[in-house]
Amino acid sequence: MEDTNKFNSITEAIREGNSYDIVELIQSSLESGNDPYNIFNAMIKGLEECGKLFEDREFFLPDLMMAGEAFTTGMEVIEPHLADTSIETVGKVVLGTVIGDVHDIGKNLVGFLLKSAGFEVVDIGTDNDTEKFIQAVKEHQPDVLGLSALLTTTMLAMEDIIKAMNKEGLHEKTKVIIGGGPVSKRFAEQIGADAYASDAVEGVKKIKEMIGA
Amino acid sequence: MSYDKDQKVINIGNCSIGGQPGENPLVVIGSVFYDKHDALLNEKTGEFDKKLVETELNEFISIVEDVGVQAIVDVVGGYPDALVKECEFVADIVDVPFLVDGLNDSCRIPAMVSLKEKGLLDRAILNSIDENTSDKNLEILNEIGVKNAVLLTFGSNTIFARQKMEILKNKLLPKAKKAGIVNYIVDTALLDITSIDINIETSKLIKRELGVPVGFAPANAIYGYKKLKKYGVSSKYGTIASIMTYSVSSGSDFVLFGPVKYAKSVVPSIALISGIKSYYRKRILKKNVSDKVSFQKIF
Repeated sequence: MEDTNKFNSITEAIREGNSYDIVELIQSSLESGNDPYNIFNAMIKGLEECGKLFEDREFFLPDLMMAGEAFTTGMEVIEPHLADTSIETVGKVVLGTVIGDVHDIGKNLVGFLLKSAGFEVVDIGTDNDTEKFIQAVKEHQPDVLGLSALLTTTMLAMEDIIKAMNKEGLHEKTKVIIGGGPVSKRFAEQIGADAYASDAVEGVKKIKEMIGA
Repeated sequence: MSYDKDQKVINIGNCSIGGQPGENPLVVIGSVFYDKHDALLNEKTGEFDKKLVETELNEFISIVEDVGVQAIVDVVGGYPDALVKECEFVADIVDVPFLVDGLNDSCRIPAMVSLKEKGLLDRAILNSIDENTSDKNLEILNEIGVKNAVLLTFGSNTIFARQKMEILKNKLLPKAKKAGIVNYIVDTALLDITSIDINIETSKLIKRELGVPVGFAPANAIYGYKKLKKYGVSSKYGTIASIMTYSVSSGSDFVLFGPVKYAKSVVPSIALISGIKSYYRKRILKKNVSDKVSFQKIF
């Protein structure tokens, strides 16, 4: 019989951003014979709870970052044990920060939260030119492309990327969502993006809405 | 109220930044040519309302001189040619140092090269060197003889004071050395308004262990605070001033307070904190303060 106390501890550790104890908690749970998939679900629950607390304005940006860090640390332990387990994904998302911009906190948070929501996430990192985004969309054929920028100058590249996607006929299958400090809903409409999100939690909601998940 | 560790004072132009609490007047940094600055007419070409900028800068410096703190102007720009034009103009109007605050390296590094050609490097402070500044750009800075820079302790997974310290020691200080930077001040990189105490803790840690000048930019978060405008103008300015004074009373040597046009709402309150610290150091601790400290101006 699986140990729900251990699962609760794992959920709490992720929610509270406890990167120090998460490794031991997961290892202990594995050694107790718990199903790796259930351990993974406990981790996901931690991220969900964190996201909910962020929406409720109990948690803030550092809390999301800490939870993400704990989740990443935990994944290094659990992922090898999930290799044989097929996890059904609800959709695929490619994320990237545009050219000239190396900010990635928001993008990384969206990535964690999407994974917790059952998405397959391909993160192409920062400082990506239009060609890199197009190549990523062609290769991975995602449901959604997420573009991130934190500077007023770099956000302009988002329009070039959408234009390139239209030209290559990629925008029909892959929707585009944009986010980042200087970005706005109005800007999203101006450049032909399908959605805009003001923070990571809203971003995940919008992505789910876009693909009907 | 005083650190055991010797505290470095960085001298750039007429500004002495850092030292023990109260040793030097605090440094206020106000911004021009930020996004939505009324004076900014074309951010690509650097076309701006010269009269408006000159008026704002003159008022800023006038207040600074009247209340006895020190000033730096933060010149923001998204395009190198525009940024250089803006820096030249500011350098012509005021005789204080200025931050070359290009939005990314593609903007600020070429701007530094141009400022070298124009003979303005002595007062120019590169804003900033961070963990992503490339070796190539560090070499350029070294070649042209840049000596002044802000080191920014920003990183993707960098949340806690100790992590910011690690980035500073292991990445930023080596990069500064490679670039030939000898006058550096540390920006502890604000994440959001809620987590300001992380920056306070970082400031204290850096002063305690390294003894270098520290500060950060509450301006990056306070102007987005949801309740800033809720209770009227006086509440708005009170809130802004409170967060700026909180940052300096807790240990920052400098503070980026936002648009220079807010100087009258912010600078006098920072001067008060500066004077309180200097008085305690001089008259209670019986330790030296610099010649720049003037109780007559502040009080």
